[in-house]
Amino acid sequence: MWLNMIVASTILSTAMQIDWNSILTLIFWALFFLYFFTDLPQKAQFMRYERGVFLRLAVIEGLVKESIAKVKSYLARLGLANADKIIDSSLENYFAIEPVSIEPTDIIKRLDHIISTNEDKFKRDLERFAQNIDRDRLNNIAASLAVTSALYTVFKILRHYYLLGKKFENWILMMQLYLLLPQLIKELMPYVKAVETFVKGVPIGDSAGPIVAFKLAGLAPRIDIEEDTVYSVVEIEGRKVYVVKARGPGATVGKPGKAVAKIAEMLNCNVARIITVDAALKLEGEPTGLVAEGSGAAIGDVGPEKIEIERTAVKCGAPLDAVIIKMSSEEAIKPISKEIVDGTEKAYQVVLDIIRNRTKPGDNVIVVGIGNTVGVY
Amino acid sequence: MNIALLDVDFTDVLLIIIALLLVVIVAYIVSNGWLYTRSRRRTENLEDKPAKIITVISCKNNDYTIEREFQEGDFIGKVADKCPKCGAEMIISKIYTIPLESGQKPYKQSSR
Ligand SMILES: [Zn+2]
Repeated sequence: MWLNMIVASTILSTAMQIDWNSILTLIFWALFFLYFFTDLPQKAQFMRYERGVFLRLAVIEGLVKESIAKVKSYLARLGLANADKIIDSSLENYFAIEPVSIEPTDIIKRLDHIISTNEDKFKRDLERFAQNIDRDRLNNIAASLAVTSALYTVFKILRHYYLLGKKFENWILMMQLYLLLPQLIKELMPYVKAVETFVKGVPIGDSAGPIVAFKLAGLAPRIDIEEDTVYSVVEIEGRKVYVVKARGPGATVGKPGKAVAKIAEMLNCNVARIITVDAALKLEGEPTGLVAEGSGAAIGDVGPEKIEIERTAVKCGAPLDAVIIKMSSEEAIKPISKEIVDGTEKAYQVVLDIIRNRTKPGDNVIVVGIGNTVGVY
Repeated sequence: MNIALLDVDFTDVLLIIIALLLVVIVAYIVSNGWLYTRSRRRTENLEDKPAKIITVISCKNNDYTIEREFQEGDFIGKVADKCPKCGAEMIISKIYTIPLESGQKPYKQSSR
């Protein structure tokens, strides 16, 4: 019995040994050929990338749907009928085409014209749709629609490249998407939160500039000067300070550049200093809420508003100070954090120092709080 | 004894080496995957940390301050109730979010 088993196992093992040897060699050579002389590894990798991109795109599509649902429920809560129509039309429409740039004459004027035409059209359509809604709520609706539309545009572009890559088996395109998407998803997540924030009217990180303006102006009367833009006049240690900000507490950035130009015109260019306060992007590793001071116009628009401030400063010979409060791009659209609120207090002190030390009593000073004024009067 | 050792089949040694390599690779992949999901979970936790929005209301004469949870309709600069100490107007001076520590109730949506 025992002997029998031992004999059997020896026979088996010798048989296995022979088999193993040849099988291993065969497998080795087969793999060698498949790996080095065919496109199979690339194909396998392409399939993996394709799967990964598909799944991540589904996540982004989910984000788009989530934000659409949030806007829809907000519109329903305000008692507005046919919300679907306005959401659909704002998702696809209202694109702006960049003006010709090889002929630089008037390019800013043309760009400004195109942007304001587009914004006007959007606001008019919204007004027509939501007739008895006050301006602040209208601005909140506009901001949440704009965020949703931005999300949708990003999704559309990514889907375009995914489908192109799949159609032409362009594995470089697919690989780029595969590597890029996790970071993009992380950056797009806060946008969905932003919709909710605009709907509720909570200040966001980008509201840091308007908050500093509020600290300066307090509850002084807000005087309309441009569309969605106001200014207040306060006296600080003998100086007349013109505080410019977007009209709160709705979600809007206003037109601070044009407002500054108008105020300077109103004062016959008798302006001692122009101070801009804005939220700025921090580098990875820098602390949130850090306040820094420099020169120039601290404003992150595409150009028309910034150039107005710069031109006004040059025309009036007024030094242009920039005070920035640093934060990440995520924090800029999330509800404002404690660190940024502390930063606004520091920025306020910096602005006061500039007014005290670099202007004389009797001077006119313009302070501009740049940013979205959601939740700030 | 020595002869017996030298007599070992070379393919056996190769097999053992391949098997060992396989075990190492599998262990590496598994541990990597585990670490990846763990770190992923940690960042997701950071991301979705529930936050509470606080509204700070202070008296014009700076003698009284209250903090409460944010309610829809609050904005910085809104004139709220009268001050219980001096009767002057109270103004919302700050709104900010703080991360909720564990054990606290997550942020509740204000009444609709
Ligand atoms: Zn009081």
